[in-house]
Amino acid sequence: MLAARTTSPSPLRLASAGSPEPVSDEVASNLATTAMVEGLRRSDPAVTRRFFEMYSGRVERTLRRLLGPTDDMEDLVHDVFVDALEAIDKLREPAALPGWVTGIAVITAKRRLQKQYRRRWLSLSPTGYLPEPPSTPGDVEARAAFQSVHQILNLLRPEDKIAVLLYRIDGLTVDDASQVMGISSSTFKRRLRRGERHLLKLAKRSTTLRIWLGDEGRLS
Amino acid sequence: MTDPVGRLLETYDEGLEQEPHRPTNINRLEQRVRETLRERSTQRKQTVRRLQLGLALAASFALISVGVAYKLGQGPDEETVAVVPAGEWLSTTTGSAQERTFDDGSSVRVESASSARVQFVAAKGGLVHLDRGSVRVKVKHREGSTWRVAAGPYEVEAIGTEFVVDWQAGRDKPLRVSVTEGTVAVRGPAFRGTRFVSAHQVVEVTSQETAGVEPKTLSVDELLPEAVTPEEPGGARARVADSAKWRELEAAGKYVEALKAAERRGLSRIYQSGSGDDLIVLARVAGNAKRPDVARDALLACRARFAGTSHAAMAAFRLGQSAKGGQAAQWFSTYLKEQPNGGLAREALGRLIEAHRAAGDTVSARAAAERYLKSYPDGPHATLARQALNR
Repeated sequence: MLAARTTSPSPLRLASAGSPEPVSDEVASNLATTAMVEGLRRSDPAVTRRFFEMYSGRVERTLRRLLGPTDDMEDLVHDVFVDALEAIDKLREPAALPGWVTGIAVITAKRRLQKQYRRRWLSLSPTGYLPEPPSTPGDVEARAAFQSVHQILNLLRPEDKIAVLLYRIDGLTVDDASQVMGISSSTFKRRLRRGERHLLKLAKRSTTLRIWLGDEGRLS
Repeated sequence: MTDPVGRLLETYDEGLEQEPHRPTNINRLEQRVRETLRERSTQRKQTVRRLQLGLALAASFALISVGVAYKLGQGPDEETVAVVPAGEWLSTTTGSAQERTFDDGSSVRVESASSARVQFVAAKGGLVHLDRGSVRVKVKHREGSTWRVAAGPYEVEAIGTEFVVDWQAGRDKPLRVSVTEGTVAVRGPAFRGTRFVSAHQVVEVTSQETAGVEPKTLSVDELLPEAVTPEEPGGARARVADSAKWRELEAAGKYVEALKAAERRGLSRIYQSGSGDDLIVLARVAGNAKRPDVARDALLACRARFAGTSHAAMAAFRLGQSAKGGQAAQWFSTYLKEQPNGGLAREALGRLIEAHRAAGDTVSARAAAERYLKSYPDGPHATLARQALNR
């Protein structure tokens, strides 16, 4: 089931999914991006500096949404930029730089998630159910709900989790998300549906989430 | 809320926003990325260097392996020694060979499964007693010295430079002589006098031809040039008839045609049966026809067959004309020794001065110059002789 997007616009959304811009602005943007790629290929220090300034926030946001809070965010952002600068000569269309950098961030996040997924059995409870954090009112409840969703997301297959988050939170279209993940649209849809089903199934087992949502039936 | 997944993810998105996090420090990020890129670049270069080194080592190993394989494929191992003790017996087993190099630059290779004894005297040359098997002899010709191979009742004398003698007493064809370069003189019971074998020719002797003849044992003292047995006279009329055609062409100044006619008749036949005059003329024909190899072989055959005669002395003079430096000096000295009052003595002495000077032998050049001025003070080389004496 491809559910509707979240209604309120997320401040974390990528620009590529936004409303169309005037053609002249798009052309100017493409020219600026192309010039940046050429500068990066020449190892121009000023252009490289500009590249860090423009793209570090984008990379960090992508990683943060896909991985959640993590202590080594700085290292992951570093890895994305190292990979990007080493592979800049392989970028075929300079105008595609933003999506290309996001794709590298997604690949970096996927590597981390796969590593965590392989080790997930170490953190599972003996029953297979999620451990419940203490239930407290107010902001504490909201935080507990967030942690529960975060834990559930970490139990999904990495590729399913990424598909769900790119589509549901980042607001990418199926085509854009599948392109960033380097897979076909049909494969993306398959992973998205599987991720959503698994997410819902695990959420129904969580008392915290049932309390947080106020009605068990709302998860049905 | 009708979309439970959307509600869950909205909860996640809002919670994520509330989580404390440090914004990326651009300066630190840029510095770390640059350092990492530098390190990786260095590592890649080192990897490339290691790969290149590895490839170079692999290539070297391959070359060495190919070399070893080639060496192994060449067959028996060889041992080369600068000087061989006189009278040493050299025996080889199957699959092995031994090679000896001597002071005069000549070498003897005792092939697989062979036994031979080599006697060598620098001033006289070498004598190889071939007991069984095969020897390959490469001779650096020097005036006054000669190389011979004694195989059973046969004797092979080196006039040219490279030949193989194969001797197996119990074989149907016990003797086999093949010449790679130059000419050899083969003597023995199967031949009347001397049989000359030239380059790319092979002579074999059957056991019937050899039967009943006791092997002849030679000593190193017999190596003197004077010991060369001159051909016994006989059949001179027939030889004149045989050589008439090429001699007529020579007399007409048609040297190339004359040489072709001589080749059709057989150079080796001329070497072994032609008169001393035939051989001198053949050398002149070959020289004019730009065939110095034939000229040299003819002159060497002349010296081998007609040693002590005026023809042999003439051959020495001609050989000196075609040689250079020290070798030329040796040939002119030979002529003067054999024909001190010969018609070419003055010319030979003058050329001897030239040859010594060309070889850088000033002492010998001065000696020859003094001798020249004493005998021919007004001769054509008198000026040169005085120059050699700094007069």
